[in-house]
Amino acid sequence: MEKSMKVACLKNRLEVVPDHVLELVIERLCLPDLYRFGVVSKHCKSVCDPLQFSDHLPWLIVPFINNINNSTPTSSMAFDDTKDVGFFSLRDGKVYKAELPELSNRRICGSFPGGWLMTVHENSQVQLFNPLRSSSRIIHLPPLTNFPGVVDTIERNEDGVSSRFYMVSVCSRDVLRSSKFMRDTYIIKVAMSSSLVSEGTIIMAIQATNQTLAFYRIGGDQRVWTPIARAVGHGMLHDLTYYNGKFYAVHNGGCVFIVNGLEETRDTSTSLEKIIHCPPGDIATQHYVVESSDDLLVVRRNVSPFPLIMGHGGISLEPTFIPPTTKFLNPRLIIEFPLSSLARIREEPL
Amino acid sequence: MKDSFNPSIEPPKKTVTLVSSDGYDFEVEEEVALESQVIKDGFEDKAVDDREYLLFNVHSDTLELIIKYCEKHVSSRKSISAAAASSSSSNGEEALKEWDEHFISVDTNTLYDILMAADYLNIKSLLDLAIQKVADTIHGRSPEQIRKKFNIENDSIIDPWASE
Repeated sequence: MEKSMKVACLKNRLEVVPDHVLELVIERLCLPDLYRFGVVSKHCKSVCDPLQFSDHLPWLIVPFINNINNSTPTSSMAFDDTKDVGFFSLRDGKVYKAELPELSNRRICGSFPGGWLMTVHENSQVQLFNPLRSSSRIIHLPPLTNFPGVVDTIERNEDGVSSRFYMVSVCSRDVLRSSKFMRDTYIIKVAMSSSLVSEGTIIMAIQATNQTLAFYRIGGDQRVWTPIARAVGHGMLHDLTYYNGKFYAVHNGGCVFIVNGLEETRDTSTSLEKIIHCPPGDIATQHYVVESSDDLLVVRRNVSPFPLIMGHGGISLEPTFIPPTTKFLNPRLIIEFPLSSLARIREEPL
Repeated sequence: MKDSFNPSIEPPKKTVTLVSSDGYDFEVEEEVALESQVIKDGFEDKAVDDREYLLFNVHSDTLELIIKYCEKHVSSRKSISAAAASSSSSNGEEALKEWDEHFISVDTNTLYDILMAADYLNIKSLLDLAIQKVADTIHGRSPEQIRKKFNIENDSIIDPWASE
């Protein structure tokens, strides 16, 4: 019909689409689409706001529950068959969908500056994956079987279904673990020495075996995770971070260790050195070492009782559970003023 | 199945007149017009002989499509519920979905028109369909491709994705 010809040349018709309609369109876009749509024009940018990227950092990755077409609620944090993850924005409290098939059946065991995620698959694969890059998104790391605490793998055939088990060394004994359990629990915490994934970058991990450290140097001659020998009073490590050119780890009593010798090309010369003694007070259930305001803090979390749910081959915290109190201790202050440190303990409820 | 009723005793269908922005009259069955929530909301208050609606924002080309959509949905709903009542198996919903998909496979300008009209007339299922189509069209496209597809001028100063 001729009548439609006159509208065919109209420009920028998107601008007359009411905002509430455009918002409904935006609700259905996954995150990469939103980013691209947000730069199409000023108008698109204005409707995509509050989606503009830098304001939204940091994103929290959560399971995506499709509330448009599927109303089945799920509180499961299982990683099986998860293609879509949600990016939760602290700024507007909304969950945005990100279609990332690369994360399917993988557990995210760590995240690093620059958008890198470390993932682990029950088939033993360990990868770095960057959803924000358009190319070279995946970097393969040595698999789970190349961790020092993993002794062997065993294929078992039960009722015609073959499944893999891992022989893991725990307290000088070898125990058998299912592949799902390994995926969900073996890599406890990771830290990276640079946000640039390039030759010489070190990835440090706390492995579940006795909660000790192992590291991998990108571009190095070793295709395995190299153990770092335990120091006296090492205990079980709870957390790990990279700060001012060094890796720091905190153990179950709250002592802080530093990793030495990583500058050497020979990876056998590494060692742990205790730099901060255990803080006074009750032993906490969980310790974290975190950078905050250019300083390094040890955070203690006291959780009592500690409700654990077994399921999905792993352990997860009760989702509704909120730890009652958190104590902040500043390790620097303890080093400088060991006697007065008690007065400098801040206690802040979360 | 043989005819179970005599068409001659069927009451005359009530109709409503819809007038497009360019002045064309469309006489449609009442239940078809009632697919629009806007028409439905004020319907009972209107006198029976004054059921004429001036749709200032809907061009006759678009109105034709909208009516086609509503008629299809009214008739499909009937046949689906009839099939359910006689517990005979029916793929009516699947067929309707397919029909919808075909219906919304239009050029971008028509898609704009349908989107605007569905919003104006508040026809929720059609608005959903058009919105999903717009989202699908954006999906996987670069900003430049989106501009081209939707005829949008690039007035952004910097395109952070252009260098990639």
